[in-house]
Amino acid sequence: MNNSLQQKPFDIKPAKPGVIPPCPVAPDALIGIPRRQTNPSCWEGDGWQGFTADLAARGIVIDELKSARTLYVTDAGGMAYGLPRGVLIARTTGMVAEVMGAAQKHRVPVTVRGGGLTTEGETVSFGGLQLDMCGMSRVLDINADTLTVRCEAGIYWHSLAESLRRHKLDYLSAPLNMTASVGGTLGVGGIDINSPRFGCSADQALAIKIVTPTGEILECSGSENTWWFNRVLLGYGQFGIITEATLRIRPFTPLTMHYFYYGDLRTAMEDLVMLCDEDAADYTGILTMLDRAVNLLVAFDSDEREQAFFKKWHSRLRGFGELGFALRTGMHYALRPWKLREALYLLDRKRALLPELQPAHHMSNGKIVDRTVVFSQAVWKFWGGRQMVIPDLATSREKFFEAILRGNEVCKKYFPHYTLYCVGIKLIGPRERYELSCIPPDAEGIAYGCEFEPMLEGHTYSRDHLQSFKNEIYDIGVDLGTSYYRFGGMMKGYIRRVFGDELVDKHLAMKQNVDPAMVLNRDVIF
Amino acid sequence: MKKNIPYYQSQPGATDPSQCNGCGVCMLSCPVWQQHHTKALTYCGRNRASIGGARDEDLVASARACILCGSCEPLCPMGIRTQQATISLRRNLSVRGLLLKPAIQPDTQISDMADYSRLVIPGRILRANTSLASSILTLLGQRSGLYSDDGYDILLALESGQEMNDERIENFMAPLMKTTELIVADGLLFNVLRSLLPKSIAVRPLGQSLLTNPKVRAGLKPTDFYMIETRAYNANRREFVALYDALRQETGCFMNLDLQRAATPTGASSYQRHRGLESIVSVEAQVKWLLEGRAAKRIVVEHPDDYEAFATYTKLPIVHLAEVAKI
Repeated sequence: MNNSLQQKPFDIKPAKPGVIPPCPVAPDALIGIPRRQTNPSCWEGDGWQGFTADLAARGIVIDELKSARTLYVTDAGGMAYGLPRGVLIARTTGMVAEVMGAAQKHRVPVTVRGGGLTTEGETVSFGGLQLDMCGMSRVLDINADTLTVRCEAGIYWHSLAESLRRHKLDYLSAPLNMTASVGGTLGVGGIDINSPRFGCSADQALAIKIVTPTGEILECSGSENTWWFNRVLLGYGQFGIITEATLRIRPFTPLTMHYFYYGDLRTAMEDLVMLCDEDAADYTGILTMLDRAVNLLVAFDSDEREQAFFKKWHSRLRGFGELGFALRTGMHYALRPWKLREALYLLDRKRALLPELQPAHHMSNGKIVDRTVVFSQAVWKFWGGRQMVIPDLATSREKFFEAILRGNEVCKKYFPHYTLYCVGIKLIGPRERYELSCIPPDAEGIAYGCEFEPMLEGHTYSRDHLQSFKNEIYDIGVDLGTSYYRFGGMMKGYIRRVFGDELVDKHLAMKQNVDPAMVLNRDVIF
Repeated sequence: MKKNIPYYQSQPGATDPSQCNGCGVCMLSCPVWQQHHTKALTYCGRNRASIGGARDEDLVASARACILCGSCEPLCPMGIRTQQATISLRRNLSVRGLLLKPAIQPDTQISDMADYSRLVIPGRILRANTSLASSILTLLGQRSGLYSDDGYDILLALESGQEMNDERIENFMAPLMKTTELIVADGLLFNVLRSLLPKSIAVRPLGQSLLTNPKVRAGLKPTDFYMIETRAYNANRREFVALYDALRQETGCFMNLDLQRAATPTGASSYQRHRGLESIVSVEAQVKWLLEGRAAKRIVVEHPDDYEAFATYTKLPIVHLAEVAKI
């Protein structure tokens, strides 16, 4: 062998038995991180026959056809690929309980999936059973008096909204993506542009029915099985499978949306924080196009709130309306003709994106009737693709500016165009619920989050490029001690770095206690 | 006319189905999804399985499940022509004998069409209802005539993915080339004819053509449930949505439009009335869902298949759109 090749840093040397060497592909990726194998063994198909036979005896047939399994080969991120050994579409809580009982007995891994909108491979099976919860999508009860809905957890927010709208009701808070499932969202948090008022989508859950990793069925709420309630909500699927949920809802109202434009990200962030702190709007968030074009949106459910905003807060915002911003931006680029390309990009975005955010058929008397439909369509049309890379940071108010400004610089390094999506997240539930979640431990009152969303624009980037980008964003979190919206799958190496061994070991011990064979969503977090 | 109906072929500008990103948005309005919640039976499922390595023969059940309502098509952020893609898959399966084929003979009544500048292809049911057909022609105005060929066999061939005899297609199309305006009751046939005929011939869906008559619009009430023909609407939503949105605001009636403004079907179609071709979509469940939470007192339909669906599963009065002007 050529000597020069032998001395390359990526030269892969044989490992000594029992020793995990530094990663030969990205040797700087996990420096100083003690790696540990927390699962009992790498699943190699052991127990599968017994598992499927046990279930078949109970009338539960696992689909092992290739055409069924290949549907689940990746998630929305399109970065992690794996195939389940078999697929089961859950239809009842009892069926899920049977599955978990058999999985525990035969030590077969079960990966649960709703909308499959994870981006780090958290819902991708690497062997084992893929449990598709979408078969449990019924709306069980809508109570207009108590403003609550009981539904099965596999239901997509879109389908729930369809049912609620027939009764002139609406959900309270849900992700801006209608193919997210209720159960999946409750398991990870769920952020909306009204999160500064209502917290995570998970905080809208009043009660949940779960199947524990050993197959026990439990009703959980703030007053019943409370430990389970606070572990399963925002628990990343580690402590149980949500099969039903009772959620807070509200009367349906179309909303009025206003956009304010900024030529500076920090100023927009300061105004966002001010609006969140003072509860000035029903919905608010930041969407950027370029550093010179930052959009702060505010929206209202009622005319009264809108009027109050214009009376008290509007004059304090430092952003401009569309016309004012266009004039200033036009002047800026007129004096900088060498930035023509940037100006053209902005014009193109304005032409393409803005009409999509207010299509006539989703508007009524100047108000947006179906905000999530509008945003969901826009998200997939402009940011979607066969790969979706959306690293994020969740911070306290004090760290918000530094974290996001640093993340913004990272985005510039990797992509010509990207969007930052920033929102506030109110703390609603007990602290223990958020221990490993998007609410960082040092956040008081309202946490702030930001998704860093590159516009891939049809380009093909290598996985290394995309992963390096994500790592740099996540490294900011490690450096500043923030938290993240996303935890599992390919980024689980960051969990101990962010939260420390003590907290992670505490959660690992809880996991091992309730899931002795470590079969439920294994390898996602621990 | 080629033996392979060009509609099957990839249209210029259409997005290659392999570009599907698996977002699942197309499932949101799918009646198969809504009733069964089995991804494998939806367009998204078929396409993802195919991209993942499944063969066409693995997708027979899924291809059969689709009712070609087209509600997935306007939702696809990538712009994939899902209805065409499913027809194309059915064709591949049909050629290999993996799909049942309805055997239907053409039903043509030879007559001189030369006097009419506006031809109506009413479909088999409307043509048999001479009173209603007469009302339609009256509302559409002078020089309107019923086309003597109902094209039913062609429609069934399209739905089942069968190839058509060249001579049959030529006989069907030749008189149409002499007209200036063509009004088509069935949405799938509308989609095909619109893609095949020269731009000089205006091809319109029957419902929209009737709605241009003020007497028809005036006959709609706020308590009506207006059932849009789904196949033409969904394949052309960007073009048609404004018209129906304006109609909804003007009349206050309920419509079979979901949150995405895709048209929800009843699940009834002529094709599925043939033995062995029945869909897994329950028409009863669809009708129940369409009317849930909607205090409708009358059903107004554009397509006769929907008339039968509502007549079977509701006690509400049902009228065809052409009949509202008289009531």
